[in-house]
Amino acid sequence: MPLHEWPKRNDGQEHDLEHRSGYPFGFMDEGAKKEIRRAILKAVAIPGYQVPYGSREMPIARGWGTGGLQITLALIQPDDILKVIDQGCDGSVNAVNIKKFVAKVAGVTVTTDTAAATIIQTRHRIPEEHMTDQQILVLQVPYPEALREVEPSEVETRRMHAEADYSRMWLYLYEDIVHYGEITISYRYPVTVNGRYITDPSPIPRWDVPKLHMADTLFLFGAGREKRIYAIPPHTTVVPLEFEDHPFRTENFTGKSCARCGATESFLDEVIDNTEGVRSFFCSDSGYCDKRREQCSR
Amino acid sequence: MHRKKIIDDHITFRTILAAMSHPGKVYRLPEFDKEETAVIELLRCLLDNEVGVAVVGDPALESDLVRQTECRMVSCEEADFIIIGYLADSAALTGCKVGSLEYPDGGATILYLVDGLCEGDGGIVLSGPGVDNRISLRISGLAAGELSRLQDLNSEYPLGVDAMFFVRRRNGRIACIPRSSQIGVN
Repeated sequence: MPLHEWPKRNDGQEHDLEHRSGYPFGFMDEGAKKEIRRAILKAVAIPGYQVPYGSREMPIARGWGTGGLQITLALIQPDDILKVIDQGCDGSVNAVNIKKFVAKVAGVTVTTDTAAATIIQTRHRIPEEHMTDQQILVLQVPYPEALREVEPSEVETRRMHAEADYSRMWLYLYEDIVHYGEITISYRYPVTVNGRYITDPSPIPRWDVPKLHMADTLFLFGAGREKRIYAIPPHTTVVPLEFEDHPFRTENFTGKSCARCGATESFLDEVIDNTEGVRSFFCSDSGYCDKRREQCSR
Repeated sequence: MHRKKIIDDHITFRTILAAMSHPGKVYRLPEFDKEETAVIELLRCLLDNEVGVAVVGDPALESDLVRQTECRMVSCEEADFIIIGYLADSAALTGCKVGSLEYPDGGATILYLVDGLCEGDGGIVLSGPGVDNRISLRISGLAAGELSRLQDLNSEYPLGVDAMFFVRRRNGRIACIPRSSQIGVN
């Protein structure tokens, strides 16, 4: 039987007339979802610790957000409102594809409005707008291991986490200061979660790191290719690694503003015009930018 | 599996996740079909044949769980999930899994069947991740000494166990105390 005819088969079972995607609710088989759910609960109970899990094949390639997608699919419910962003943008191909896919297999409503969403899946950004305790942010993670820069062996990094032996990470930062006068990590800035684990906050810019600290929202991190899930629960201390004489600092956009909405308090992308060579700045968070423009035009 | 059951599992899990990420807060679960099967309907979103389960003080639940969720019954020392029946003696918990320093997620999850849960009402005080400053929780129908047993099991963080407290009714309630929470007495 061709796939498109399968949902319409007459086998006496009830079929949801609205969502005949041909797949079970949430796409994955129940065994896969159950394993992911157990991993999520342990991840929440041990903030910052990476829980191994058996990452499943998804209809997108590993490295394109399968970790985040599996988390989203394991916890989504029909009345959820989903937002998916890719580097702040609602309209990028990856974000649109994931959003369409989840909407099809779970029948949920989608949005671009951060405040309206109940689940936000994101790649490399945390939305500018404040998120509440009713929302969950699912982050796609390429490299879950913050210590990978200093140690290639998984066995060894696991031992380092077990013993909280983070001296090599500190040394790496110190050497950076010796070479360049400051810590040069621009994204994937390592943080200490709940005073215990050094954790990779995914490739969010430094700008977003303070938003993880004592937030109202639950942050779930999924690394599909690397088969790890970890979490930062609400109201948890998240401290970027820093030295007394070299404190952590975020990107500086003083004197710059968004060319579309005029925002001066958002993370800006620099865009260079190919013909004129003119540099301009735009909000990285497209939902935030659109909302501001709408408010201004009223 | 029937579509309705699958969706029910999703909704149940979201409630459990909310409870685990907000320790001490009492959450209302979606209405279950029957009071007798409430524990199975609660755990159906988590258990399958990869999970070792031990039930203390509720033999009827054991066979139902195996039949409905296909989980394996094992001893308390090997169990990933331990269900402590209402007011059951949980001395067996002393030897339960708390995980290893390399893999602390190997620690067991313990489900206590209790009489009632009430937040912000004396009882115990919790603080730590997921808790905005402090929160108090009163658990009725929990055997004496259980909380100090939990404190002992969780004394070497990140080793430890994660506790869920479930009021076994059709309109069930749930609250959690993960190992990251500090338990104090009011």
